[in-house]
Amino acid sequence: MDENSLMVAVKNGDLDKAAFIFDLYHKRLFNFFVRLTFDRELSHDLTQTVFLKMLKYRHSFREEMILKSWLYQIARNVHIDHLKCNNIRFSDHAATENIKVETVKEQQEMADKERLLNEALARLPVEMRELLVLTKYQCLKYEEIAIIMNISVANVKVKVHRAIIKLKELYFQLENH
Amino acid sequence: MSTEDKNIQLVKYLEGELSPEESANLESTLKHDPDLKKEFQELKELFGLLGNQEEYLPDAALKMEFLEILENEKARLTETTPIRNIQKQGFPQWFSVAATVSLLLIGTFTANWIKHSTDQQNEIKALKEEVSITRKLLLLAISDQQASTRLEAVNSVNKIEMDDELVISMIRVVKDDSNLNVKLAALEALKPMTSDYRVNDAFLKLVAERDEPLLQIYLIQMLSEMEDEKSIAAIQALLVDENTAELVREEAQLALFRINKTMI
Repeated sequence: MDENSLMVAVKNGDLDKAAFIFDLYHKRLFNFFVRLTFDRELSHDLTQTVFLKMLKYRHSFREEMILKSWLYQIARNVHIDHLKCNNIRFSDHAATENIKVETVKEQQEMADKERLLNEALARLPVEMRELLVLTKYQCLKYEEIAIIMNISVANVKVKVHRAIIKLKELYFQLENH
Repeated sequence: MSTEDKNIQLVKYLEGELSPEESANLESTLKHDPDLKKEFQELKELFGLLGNQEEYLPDAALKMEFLEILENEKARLTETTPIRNIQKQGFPQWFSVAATVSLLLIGTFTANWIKHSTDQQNEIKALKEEVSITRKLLLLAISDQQASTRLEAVNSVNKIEMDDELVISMIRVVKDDSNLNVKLAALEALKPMTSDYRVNDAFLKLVAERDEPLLQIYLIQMLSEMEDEKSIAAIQALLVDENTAELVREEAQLALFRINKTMI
């Protein structure tokens, strides 16, 4: 059974299939949130919220939809809701002091360059960071991101290119500091 | 071309989005433009780092919590669908109404009966439902893809009374799980059940399988505690089998020595 069919089954009342969808996506979504928030505990909660919403709004899933895009749309909205609840604007960058101790500890075990990269990512505006996480870490195609973000593919490309350039500036500023 | 446009060209080049002609032009420019070349090297380094980092693993509790949410949702659905199901099957309207009225009457009598029952009966019922949901969650978690989740589930089996389904699941885990630690944990969970003929039979068969010597050693220890004829015969058979691993042979010898001492 492909993943779209699994979701159709859940929509039609076969809730056990939701466990298979969870197995397919929970790690990806967890990593998506960790890369955005740098907070493992928060990412755990946000990931759980995505699956809660998947169950709650299962009736809204239409057969012509793509499950991956639908779940990532929910994930983005969950993240945006979190930002709103905490009075963080979507264009704001994460203050590096917000990186939780557990994540910093993990980073200390990584190479210096990777630590710098994470710090540079944290300093990017949230929207730019989100795009880079989706394309470079979650390995989504531009066409998939376009559906998730409800913008054109050309627009996705332009935004991703700008985000990469901005990241490079931040990364080498930190490296030369 | 502005600096930003040049940088975007570099990004497109590294993403493979330029045509062969555009790529050739850019490569030619890079040879003569040291500033642009520096930008290119920096971008190339960044591309090498991006997406190369380790995946973060969520803890096993994430799945356990989700399975609990799922069970609650299933339970909630069961409570709210009986009337709708009757209508969906195409029963005539009057039947649905009669069924609703009957259910309401039954419900009323039941409510009165429950009101007169003691608090203890309600508590036992709630506890039984909780145990039933816990069993279902454990059975699901025992089949999880992640070994850490399966291990946690098997270790939790000790906390509740094992029914037939759990006993059979634990035996299956000892036989078929891909992770040795999970198998050993399942063995430990089955230790109190060695008087069950299914567990006994499984142990007697598995002790002869040479794939996992450590598992054989644990099984020898458990069988030696039983001290019955079949267990002793199974351990003795390992000594006779010349393909038995040396460590397993030593454990078998020790076990028989212990049994002989206790039998004297």
